[in-house]
Amino acid sequence: MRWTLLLLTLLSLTLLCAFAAADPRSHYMIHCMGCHLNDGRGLPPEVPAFDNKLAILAASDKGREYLVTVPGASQSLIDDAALAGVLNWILATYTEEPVYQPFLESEISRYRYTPLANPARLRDELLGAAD
Amino acid sequence: MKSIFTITLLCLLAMNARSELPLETYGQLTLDTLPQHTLLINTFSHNAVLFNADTQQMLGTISTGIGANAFEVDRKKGIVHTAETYLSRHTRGQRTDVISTYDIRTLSPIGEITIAPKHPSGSPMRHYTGIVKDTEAELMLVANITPAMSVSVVDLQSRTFLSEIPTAGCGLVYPSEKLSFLQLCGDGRAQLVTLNRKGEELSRVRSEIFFDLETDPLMEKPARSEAGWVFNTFHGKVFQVTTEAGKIKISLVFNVGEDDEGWRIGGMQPVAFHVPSQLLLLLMHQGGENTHKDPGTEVWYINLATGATTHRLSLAVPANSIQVSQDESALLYAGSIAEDQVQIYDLKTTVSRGTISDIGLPTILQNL
Ligand code: HEC
Repeated sequence: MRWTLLLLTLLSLTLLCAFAAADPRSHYMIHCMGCHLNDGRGLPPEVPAFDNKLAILAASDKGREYLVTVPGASQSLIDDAALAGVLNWILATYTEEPVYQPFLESEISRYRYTPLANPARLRDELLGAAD
Repeated sequence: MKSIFTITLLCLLAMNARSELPLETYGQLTLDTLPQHTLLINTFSHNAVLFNADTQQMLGTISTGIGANAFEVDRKKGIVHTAETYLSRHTRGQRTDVISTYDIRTLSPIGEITIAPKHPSGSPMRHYTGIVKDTEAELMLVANITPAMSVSVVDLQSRTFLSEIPTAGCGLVYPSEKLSFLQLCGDGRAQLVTLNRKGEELSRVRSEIFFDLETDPLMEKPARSEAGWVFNTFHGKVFQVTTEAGKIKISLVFNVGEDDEGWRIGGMQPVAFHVPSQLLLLLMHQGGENTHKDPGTEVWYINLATGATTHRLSLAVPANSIQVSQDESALLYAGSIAEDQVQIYDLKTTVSRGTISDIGLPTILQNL
């Protein structure tokens, strides 16, 4: 009886870990949702709402660099592959147009480690330029 | 029957005593000379309380809005500044954040400067504000978290709000040389931002990575040494962070605790530094992972230059915060939230010098 219980616990823990490690949505819940909230609405203007502007940003190199280097993303405690997964999940979930170029791990590694000083200003520049 | 008689007698006595009392008037007391050891205590009761630590006598209180922040003390001018938040309907409504300036003699506000309504006021924390100055300018800095991070810059001479410096990914303020300040960043580095007298950013640099957020995080509650700031990690690495000519220098000074007995640094204000004797004081407890906020049961005296533990003081009751006065006959203070008291010890002899009680839940301790 005790062994079965232990085995079951171990099994469910393993499953839980595997699930959490693999699933971008779980990463979002653990590492992003505190600020961006359960439905991505954030707390504008400080935390922008996740909406179709993400598609505009993801369409240019500079914009893609921005999406990776905002501190919530770049300084999160997940590796480059997992961060690529979450960003792709965010794009797929909150933009209307499909984003044809998903983030790859290598793109994350290229941008992630150069700190961004003033995200709000860069965002205004990028979205202004896209209008 | 007997009790009715006693009560009547007491009433008569009381009436008699009352008729002889001198007429009381009200007015304002002033603190014309500050006691040698004056302790300013932030509390969980949205105020700060002032005590004469030598007599344990209460001197007065300052109300601090809906939260409580530590104070920037200017003893020469006899004033203190603190960042406060007010809501127009007490628990809701229009939010206004100000830096309030209080006269130490009267503890009355003598001015306020409105700042961006972005400064955090949760549990009191020493490093949400700081003052940087050079020969001409004196700027007060207020860390903002909305959760986007930035720093508000206020000119204390013209008493104006100068600017808001975005500091994405880095938070808090640790004043450094002249008009520059250090911050801690979420990538395991420190950041140094230098301003001009108009509150504009001149430069920013980040250090190399010196701590790991996942395996051994840095605590954001250092003590200021003469050279810079003394930080510690959860596992007891002690770093000194200094700046020189616009560069950040980080040196690992020594490791403390984490021996077989599992001693760790922890608390709400766990580190203090006594400049005259170059002693680092650490609030220590025995515990495992995630006990970095647990109260400490001992204060360890450590020679900053050598890392040698020269004494271990056993506290009468566990404490959340420690502070030390900066004179030769220094007092060591240990604040306890659970017991609502501050224990006072002679730093040199380690003899107890009394207790301050009924404070209103002491948090951050500061010398005035
Ligand atoms: C501590 C709060 C916080 C957390 C946690 C957080 N973010 Fe953010 N995020 C922000 C803020 C604030 C901004 C606005 C830019 C800035 O000032 O940093 C932002 C902006 C963004 C943007 C740009 C959106 C736009 O429209 O400009 C993206 C993309 C993003 N975050 C992704 C993430 C991801 C992915 C995670 C989790 C791995 C995450 N964030 C976690 C606070 C957070």
